[in-house]
Amino acid sequence: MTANGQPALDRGRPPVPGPSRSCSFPNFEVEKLESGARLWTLDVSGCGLVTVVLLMPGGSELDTPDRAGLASFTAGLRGAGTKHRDALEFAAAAEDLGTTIATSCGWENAAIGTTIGLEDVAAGLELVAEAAAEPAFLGEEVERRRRRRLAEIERRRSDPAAQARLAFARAVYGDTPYAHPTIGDRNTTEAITREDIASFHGRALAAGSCHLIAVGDLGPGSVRRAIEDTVEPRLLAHGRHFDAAAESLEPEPAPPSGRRVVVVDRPGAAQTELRIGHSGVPRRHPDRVRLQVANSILGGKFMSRLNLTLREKHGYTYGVSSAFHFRRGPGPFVISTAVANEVAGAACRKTVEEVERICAEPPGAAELDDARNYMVGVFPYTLQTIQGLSSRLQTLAVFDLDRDEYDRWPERVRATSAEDVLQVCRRHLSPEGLTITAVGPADELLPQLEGLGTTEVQAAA
Amino acid sequence: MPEHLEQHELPNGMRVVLHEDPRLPLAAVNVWYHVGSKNEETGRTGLAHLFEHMLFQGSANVSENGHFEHIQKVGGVANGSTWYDRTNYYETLPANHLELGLWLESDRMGFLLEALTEEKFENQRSVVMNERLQRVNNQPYGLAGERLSELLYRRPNGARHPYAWPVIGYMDDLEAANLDSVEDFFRTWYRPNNAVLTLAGDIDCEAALEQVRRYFGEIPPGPLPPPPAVEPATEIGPHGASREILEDSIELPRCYSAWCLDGYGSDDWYAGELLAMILSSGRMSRLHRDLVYERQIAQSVSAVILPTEICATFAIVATCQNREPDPLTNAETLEQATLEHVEAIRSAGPTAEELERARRSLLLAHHDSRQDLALSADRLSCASTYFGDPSRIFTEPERLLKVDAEQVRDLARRSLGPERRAAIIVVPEA
Repeated sequence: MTANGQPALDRGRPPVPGPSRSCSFPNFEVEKLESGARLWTLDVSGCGLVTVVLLMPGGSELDTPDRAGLASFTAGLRGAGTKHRDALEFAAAAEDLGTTIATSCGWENAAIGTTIGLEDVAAGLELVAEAAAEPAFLGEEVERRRRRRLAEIERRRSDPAAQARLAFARAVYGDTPYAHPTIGDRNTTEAITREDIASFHGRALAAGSCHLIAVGDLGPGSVRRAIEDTVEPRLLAHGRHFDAAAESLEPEPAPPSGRRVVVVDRPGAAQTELRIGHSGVPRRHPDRVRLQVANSILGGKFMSRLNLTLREKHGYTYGVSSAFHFRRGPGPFVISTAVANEVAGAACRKTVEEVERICAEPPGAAELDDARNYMVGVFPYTLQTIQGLSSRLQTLAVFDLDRDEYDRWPERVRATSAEDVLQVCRRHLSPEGLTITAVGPADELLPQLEGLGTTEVQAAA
Repeated sequence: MPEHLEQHELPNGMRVVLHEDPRLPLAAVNVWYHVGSKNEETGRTGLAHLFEHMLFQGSANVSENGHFEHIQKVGGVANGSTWYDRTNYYETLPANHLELGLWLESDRMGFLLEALTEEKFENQRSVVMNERLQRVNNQPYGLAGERLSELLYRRPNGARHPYAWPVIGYMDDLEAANLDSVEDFFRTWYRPNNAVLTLAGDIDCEAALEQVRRYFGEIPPGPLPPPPAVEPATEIGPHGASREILEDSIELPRCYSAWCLDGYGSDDWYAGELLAMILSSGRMSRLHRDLVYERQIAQSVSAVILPTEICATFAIVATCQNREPDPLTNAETLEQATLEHVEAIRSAGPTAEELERARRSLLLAHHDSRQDLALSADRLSCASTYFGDPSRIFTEPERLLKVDAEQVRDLARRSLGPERRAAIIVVPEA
């Protein structure tokens, strides 16, 4: 003991933690509005801000091959002028409040949202509602947006990471919707008409399938009243339900017939971008949490097998990660990294070996414990901000998950055994079915990648 | 938002900032060392950043990769970053593991050198060279920002201002770096009297301070070199050729303009931040509305001011919407158009409406950013390091609100003239 009664400091071992304080997902309410839309509310009193998101049908999974990009084209135009204000007036109305109205489009849904000061909530909701229910889709705005989208498609041609994502999705998903980039391509972008957009929007505006998610300083009833004054009157006439499953294409790719290598040639490139993986499982799959534990071990954190091997042991890369992208359909399982050209072949082989290893033997007890503790421990980080909380609620809404999903998540993680990890990896990972996409100088890459699988070389798209 | 803020100084000179915020059972640990790439020497660029990597490779009582291992296994996250003026290291932990953060940070502050090996150094040099490849060499337009700083900060006598080289360093210098220089760098700069430690979150200030004393109190201070000698900011500006045309593997031509203003914290800096917003934040901003929306010659445009200490780069970057019919002509047309907007501000200043929009947007963003514990801790360390006063993060909005239209015009007139501009045009490779 030291003079002040504290035990002497022992630097030789990590300190013993104090008692932990548990943390659960905060209470929230869900109710059905008269229009049929679901209202989700989560009160974070005292923060002075409110974040509101209106989720509506119309995600990129609905794109058809000849109109690829239609969903996100439509989504972007919702903020570019309404029946009451032109594009500049609309932008000014939001910016005068210090905010913007953000329109976006994911695979499953489109969204319109804003984060705004408490005193301006009604004005912000008015703009969100206008964009959702009364977009103008003026021809001039459609053309303006089309030119910017074409330029963005051009820009991606010189972006190696974008090229890698593109080539990977195309190779893995063939003719199914997940094969296309949500922005579409040059031909489809040129082909989409104003009528396509208006009609797509008309289909998507189905209040019975909309969710309005409000998180923040909601106050007693004030945000609710503002919603009834602004959003509801505009949604009431559109009380239909939208059946995404019936309308979207079946996004199930054909299973791969063996390992494939796709090289996108970028002569003289300074580095090689790699995307390695295959089609994964849908968000609602019962193996999902067990797969997340497995992925955490394989490539989901800094101390993962892939990062320790490729970065910390061999110095091939600045970093590598793996992820299952959970969508309504089977989104991709993908390992992403960028490596020095001269070690691209070695990096691919080590990566395949790690996928083989996690399918061959269960993880060690300590490794599994670390992964589970990490996943449970970092959960509260996403609850710090109203946007983080909103994002959690959006996931529940989009995938129609049980409302106790987040309460049960830690126990599901903790219940995942080493044998579970092995079994889900064997079920859902396939070292032989991997598609290896490499964007870099083909002349340097091809000799190194020989023997890894059926190889094809492409030009940049 | 409930909060309680204190600052203390240990006898060894280390400043400790404590911020209670018990909303969630989390604790953020954030250390700023007041050393960055500006303290490097020519020929040894990239050392501060390479060194940052070595701080994650273990210390006397922490094994190689033990830092991440200890943190991740209890459900924490950690990282570090290097900047011109400072290097930061941070972790967010379940609050009951706060002491783990103190143990790890004190071990690498006080007892790093005995764990450094040539092998670890070679591995991290390779990782950092890949980082440079990924972020710079293999990035579209990746070399343009680097060249812009070289032009803006070169001196007529061939000497270079400490902001002239990139934080990540030049590839040749990374190749030439050695373990000895890393050790020297540690001995010189990684002293408690050159550090600020911030603890934020679900903490008990009194108990936390006691723990900090236990872990850090015995680490000895050392003499610090004087700050790098530089000319006053008003003298800084491009000398000689100030504009270059680069070819890169890109599709859309782009133009960059940069000027040098007074450093972060100065009245000019805040005026510069408002001006950057007025020029390019939101669809109603001057550059966006005119060049992207109305004339449709730009695909994107942004004006930024860097929060650097000695002086601050104010830059405008605009990307063309088309490469046809001629990329260079398109880029130069866009460049001229951006400069006309700068001239308009220099002669007439912003409108009251523009100023009000920018102020409201900054206030909302300020409010929004305070929700995140790790970000708040980092900003507290920043304010303590640069100004000696962490509470300044709460008064920053007032400094922004004080700026009026005349100050913005005056700043633009004094500092954003053509004679002080450095510029880069990037066109697709022939």
